[in-house]
Amino acid sequence: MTPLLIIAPLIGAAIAFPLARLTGRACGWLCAAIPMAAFVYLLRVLDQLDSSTAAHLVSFPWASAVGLELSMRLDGLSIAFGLLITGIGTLVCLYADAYFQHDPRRGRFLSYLFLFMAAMLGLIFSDNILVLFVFWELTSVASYLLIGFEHEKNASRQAALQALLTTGAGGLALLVGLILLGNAAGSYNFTDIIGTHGLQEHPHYLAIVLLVVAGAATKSAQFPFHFWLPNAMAAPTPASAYLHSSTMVKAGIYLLARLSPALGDTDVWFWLLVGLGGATMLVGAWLSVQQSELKPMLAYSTITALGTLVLCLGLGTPLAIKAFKVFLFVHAFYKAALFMIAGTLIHETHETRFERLGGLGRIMPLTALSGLLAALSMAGLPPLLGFVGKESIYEAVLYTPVAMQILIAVAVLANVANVYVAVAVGLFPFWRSRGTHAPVKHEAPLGMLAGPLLLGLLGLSAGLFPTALGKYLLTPAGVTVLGKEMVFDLKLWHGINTAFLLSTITLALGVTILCFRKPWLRITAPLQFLHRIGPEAIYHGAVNSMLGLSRLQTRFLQHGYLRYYLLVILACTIGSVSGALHLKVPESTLPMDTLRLHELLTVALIALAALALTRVRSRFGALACLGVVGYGMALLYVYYGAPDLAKTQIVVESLSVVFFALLAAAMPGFKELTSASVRRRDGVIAALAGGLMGVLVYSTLASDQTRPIAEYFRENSLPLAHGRNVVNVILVDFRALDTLGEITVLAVAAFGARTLLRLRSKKRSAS
Amino acid sequence: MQISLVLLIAVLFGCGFYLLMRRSFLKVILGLMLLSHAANLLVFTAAGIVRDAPPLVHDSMSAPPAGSADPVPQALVLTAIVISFGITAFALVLFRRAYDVLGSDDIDELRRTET
Repeated sequence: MTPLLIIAPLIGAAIAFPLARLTGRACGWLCAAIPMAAFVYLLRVLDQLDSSTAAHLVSFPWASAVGLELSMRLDGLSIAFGLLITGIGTLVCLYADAYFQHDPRRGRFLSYLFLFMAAMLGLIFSDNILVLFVFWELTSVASYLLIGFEHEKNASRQAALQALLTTGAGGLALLVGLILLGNAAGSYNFTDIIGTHGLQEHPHYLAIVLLVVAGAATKSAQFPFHFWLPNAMAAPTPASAYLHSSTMVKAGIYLLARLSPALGDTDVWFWLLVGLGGATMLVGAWLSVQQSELKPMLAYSTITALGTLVLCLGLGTPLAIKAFKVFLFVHAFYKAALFMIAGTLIHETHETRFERLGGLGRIMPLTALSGLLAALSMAGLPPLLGFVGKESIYEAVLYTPVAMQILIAVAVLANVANVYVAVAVGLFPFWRSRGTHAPVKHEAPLGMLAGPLLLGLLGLSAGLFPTALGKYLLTPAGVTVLGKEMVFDLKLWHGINTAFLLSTITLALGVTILCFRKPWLRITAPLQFLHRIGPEAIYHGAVNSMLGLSRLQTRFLQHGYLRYYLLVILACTIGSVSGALHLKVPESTLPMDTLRLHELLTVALIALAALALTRVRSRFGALACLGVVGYGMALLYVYYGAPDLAKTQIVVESLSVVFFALLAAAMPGFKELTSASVRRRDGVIAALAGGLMGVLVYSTLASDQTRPIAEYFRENSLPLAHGRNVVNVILVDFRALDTLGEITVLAVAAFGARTLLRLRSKKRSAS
Repeated sequence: MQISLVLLIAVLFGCGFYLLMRRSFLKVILGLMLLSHAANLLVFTAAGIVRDAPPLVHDSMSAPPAGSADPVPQALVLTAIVISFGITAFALVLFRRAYDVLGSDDIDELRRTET
C-alpha cells in the first residue's frame, strides 16, 4: 500500500491531461480523489503508530550492489508533513478546477501539480538520503514548470529560472553535505543516521551542517536566498497556495527537523539556525509591510514564517519544538487559505493591490467569512489556532537561555508584520466601505470556496479544542524531532502572562502601522536603495557575468573559422607528436633498393604538380595540376603491382576532372584573399605537418613488416572464393559488407548532389 | 625507391594542409583531394612495395606467387579512392551551389546564409 502514496500522484499526473479533455467540468473533483485517499490512508497509519513502533518502514531493493534502497519511512514527522501535502493538495485540486474553469490549460496545470505532489511525498517519506535528494530536485523541476506556467510572459520565465537556479545551487551544496553525512554516519538511511551517536564530534561536522543548511536555506527561502520566493508569485495562484506557502518551501524545514536529532544540540547548530531564522524573520517582516500587492505581501510573510520555523528548530528546547509543530500547522492552514482568497479576489476583480479593494463582504459573504477566520488566525487572535501558535512561539523565546531580549524583539516585529498582512489581505477588501475596482456580481464558485472555508474552520476548531490536535498529531511528530518522549498539552487560554502581554503589543503595533500606512511608506522610502545592493542584485550580476563569460569563451574557442581550427590542430599535433618521436627514434634504417628513372620522374612530376596547385591562379591551371597528380598516382599503382587500383584511379580521376571542369573551371580565377605573411605562416605549419607525416611513414617502413592477415587471403582466395584476383576477392567476397557500405556512401553522395543541382536549376528557371 | 615515395607523401600532405587553410572554398576542396591522394599513398606504401608482382593467382596454381604484392592495402585503398570520389563530387556540387547563391568563393562570406 505504502508505495502507492508516491505512485498514485504520478498516475494522476499522467491521466490529468486526457481526463481534463474528456470530462470537462468534473476533472478537478475526480483528481482530488487521489490526494484525498492518500490523506485518509496516512490518518490510518498515524492511528496505528504508538510508542513501540515509532516508525512504519517499507523497503525495496534498488541498486543493492551500492547499497541503494528505495526505503520509505512513515513516522510522526513525515506523516505530519504528508497530511499537509495531501490535505491541502485535495483542496488545491478543487480550487484549481474552479480557477481554470474556462481555461484549456487546466489539464496541464493539474498534471504539473500531481507531478509536484508525487515528488514532495517522495521527499518526505524517503528513508534514504540519496533518494530524498532525487525527489528534492524533482520538486525544483515541478516548481520550475509551475512558476513558468504562463510561459509566454517573460517575467514568468525569468522567475522560474531564478527559482530553479537558486534552489539548484543549494541542491548541489546539499548533495555534497548529504554524501559527507552518509560517510560520517556509515549509512545513507535516516533510520541509522538518527541512531548514530557522536556525529557532532566528527571532523566533517561543520562542513556537513553548513552544506545541509545551505541547501535547506535556498529551498526554504531563508535570507539571503529569499528573493526567489516573491518572484515565484508569477505562478498561477493555486500553485502559489500549494508550493510556495504550505508545502515545497517547507522541504528545507523538514530536512532540518529530520536531521536535528543527529546534528542538533551544538553551538554551531544553535547560532547558525537562530541567526538565519532571526535574520529571515526581520527581512521578511520588513519587506512585507512595504508591499501593497496581495500575492507578494503573502510571499514576504511566508518568508517571515519560514524564518520563524528555522528559529524554533535552532532553539531546540522542548518548548521551541512544540512551537515549531504548532506553527507549522497554523501557518499552513491560514497561509494556504489566504493565498486562495487572494487568488479569488484577483480572479474576480483583476485588481492586485489591496488598498483598491473594498466592499466585497456583502457580495461574497462566504469568502469574507473564510478571510476573517484566516486573518484572525494569522494575526494570532483567540480563539483560533493562530493564537495558540503565537503564544507558544513567545513562550519558547521567553524561556531561551541566551539572547532572550533580542529574540523577543525579533519575534514581536515578525508578528507585527503578520498582523499587518492579515488585516490587509483577509479583512480590508471585505469590510472597507468600497474600493475602486470593477464591480463584482456574485460569490466565488464552490471549488474556490471549499479550500479557504474548510481551512478556516479547521483553524477555528483546532483552536477551540487544541488538546486533540496536540495528542494525536503533534506528539508523535515532536518525538521524532526531539528524539525523546514528550507530551504536548496545548491550551487555548493560559491566563494573563508575559506572552499574552506581548500578543497585545503586537496587535496594537500592527494595526497602527496599517492605519498610518502612507506616512509610514514616506518615512521608509529612503531605505529603498537597499533593493539595489541586496542579494537579488547580486544574483542578477552573477547570472549576467556568467553569460558574458560563456559568450567570451565561445567567441574565442568556437569562432567558426575552419582554417584557424586546422592551424591549432596541426600545431598541437606537430608539437606533441614530434616530442614523442624525439624520445624514440627507430634504430633501423630503410634498406636501400634500386632506383629507376621513370619511377623517379613520375614521383617528381606529382610533387611538382601538387606544389604548383598551391600557387596556381587560374581554374584551368588547377584542373591541369589536379589531373597530373591523379594520373601520376595511377602510374605509381601500375609500377607497384596494383592494376586494380590503377584502373579505378584512372576512371575516378577522369570523372573528377570532368566534374571539376563542369562545375568550377569556367569561373573567374582565384583572388588573393590573404596577405603574404599569413600565407607564409600557413606554409610553414603545413610544411612541418607534411614533414611529420613523412617521418611517421619512414619510421613505419623501417620497423617490422610482418603481414599476418595477407597470408590468409592469399591462400584462401582460390579454394574458398574461386577467384584468382585476390584484391577483387577481398572486396566482393571476404569484405563484401565494407563494399556495400562504400556503395551506400556513393549513393548518398549522389542523391545529395542531385538534390543540390535540382535546387539550382529550379532557381534558375524561376528567375 | 621507397624513400622517394616517403618524400612524395610528405609533399602531398603539406600541400593538402596548406590548401585546406585557404579562404577560397574551391582551394579547400582541392586540398581535400590532395589529402586523399596522400592518405591512399600512405596506406599503399606503408605495407611495403613490390615491383611488377600483382596478387593474382596464375593458372595451375592455388595461391599468388611468393613475394607478390600485399592484397590487403590494395583493397583498402580501392575503397578509399571510390569514397573520396563521392566526397569530392558532393563537395564540388555544394561549392557550386554556394557560389551561385553568394556570388563569392570566399568561405568567410558563408555566414550570410539567409538568401
